[in-house]
Amino acid sequence: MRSLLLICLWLLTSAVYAESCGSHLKKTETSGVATVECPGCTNLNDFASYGAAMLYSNNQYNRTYVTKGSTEVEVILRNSYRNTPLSVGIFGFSWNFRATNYAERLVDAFPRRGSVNGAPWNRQPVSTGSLKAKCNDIEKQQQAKVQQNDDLARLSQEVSSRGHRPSGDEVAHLTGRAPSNWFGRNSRYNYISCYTVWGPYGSTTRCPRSR
Amino acid sequence: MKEAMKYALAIAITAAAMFACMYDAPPERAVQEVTQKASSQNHPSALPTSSKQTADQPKRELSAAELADIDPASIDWEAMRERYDTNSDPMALRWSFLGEFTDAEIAAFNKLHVVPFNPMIDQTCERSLSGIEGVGDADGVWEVCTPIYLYDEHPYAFLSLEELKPLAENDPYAAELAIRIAEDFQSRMDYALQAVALSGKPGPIFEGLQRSSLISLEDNRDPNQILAEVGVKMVFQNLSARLGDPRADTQSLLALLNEYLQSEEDKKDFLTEVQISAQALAEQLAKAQTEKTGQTTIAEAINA
Repeated sequence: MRSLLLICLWLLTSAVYAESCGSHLKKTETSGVATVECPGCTNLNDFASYGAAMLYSNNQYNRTYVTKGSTEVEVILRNSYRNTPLSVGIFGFSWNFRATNYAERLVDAFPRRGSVNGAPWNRQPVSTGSLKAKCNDIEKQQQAKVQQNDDLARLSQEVSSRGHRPSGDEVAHLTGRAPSNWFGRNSRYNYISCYTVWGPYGSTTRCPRSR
Repeated sequence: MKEAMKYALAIAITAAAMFACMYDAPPERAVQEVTQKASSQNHPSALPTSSKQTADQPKRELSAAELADIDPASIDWEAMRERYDTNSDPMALRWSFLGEFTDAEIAAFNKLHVVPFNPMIDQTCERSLSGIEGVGDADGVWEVCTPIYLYDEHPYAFLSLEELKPLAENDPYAAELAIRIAEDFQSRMDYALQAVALSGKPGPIFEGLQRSSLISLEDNRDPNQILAEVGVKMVFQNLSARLGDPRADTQSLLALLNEYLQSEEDKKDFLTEVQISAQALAEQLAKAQTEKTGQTTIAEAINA
């Protein structure tokens, strides 16, 4: 019975891990250091919060190189400590005991190569709540990307089987989400630019007109 | 009596466990941070100084003549890195905003590099709303510091890669700056080699390696591709060591090699190939240096 419970727990933790944003971190030649790509990062704050969220959700690593093209930013996640009322004194020396502050982590973020706007982060305190929220955002974006790729795969399969490009309404029908009036009057669209937007009440896939 | 002792022992163990859980005693390094934080609270860039570094640093300030004559091998580069708690080399990455680099370290660094290290001499810090949810203190306020450096940036530092490229053909300064913004490993190391050939200084290779991504060990990667990347990096590390850069780390990738090559014979062949390639590259560099500048320092270094 106990082993069954352990297996169940293992399955549960595996499932949680698989869904966490930190699972996108890639192992590197240096132990404890990972790399990850952030296509949406523009300034140093973006790189820092993206990397920190990933590290927070994957305790296999404590630092990561977040890359976008030729730009690379090193992000380090450290524990934060808080004072406890307990102190010990001996032979004139005294120590204040400190405990891990589980409500926040300290984040460093420095550019390694390329140029990126923004001041480096030097042990900036970041609440664990916001790290979790950022991780959820990243995960949703990843899922949206997968969804978009699935939609595109379905569309291209449809196109190749019929030998012509589907109309705007057909795209809407195929994706099952985008209302046909989003494609405008002349239905000139680029279906490759479909994307899924995740909001607080679910998701919608949009295929805006090409310019 | 025996029962009472057992009982007392059980209470002591439980109390000890509770104490450990409640106070979550930090590791040695954390305690060190605590003791040092008090003195650096108003200086956010100041990072803890390891005891090794303090012990190793000279007790007195070095004279200008001594700094000019400094041997880069006399610096404990590992201790410098440990001081900032990073795997990366903060000097090669020009993280001067971290502060507290010693005069000896800077002088030694400048002996190895074309572009001198530009130390932070002061900084202006201001507290403002971070504007990022959850970042900063409880009120969302963080401290952002703008460093004030010893020198103004060289005009080349503002050039694009396209603008630097022709300059880097003859100017080692431009070549070393191009390493920072080169877009891939190959072009980064090309600029590094150009800077070395034009200046005779080995540092640009180390900087190029420091600015390169780590080798990705994803499960779905072809092991041969990983080994090829390991080989190329090892050649550059080896070359850096041959040219006399004391920071060259020729051992760091050996563990990875053991993971991907099980047979001792394969490992031996691999390492022999690395040595041969590094020697060939060094000879090419020496030739290029003589052709471009008439100098022979690289040839002398590799034949020493």
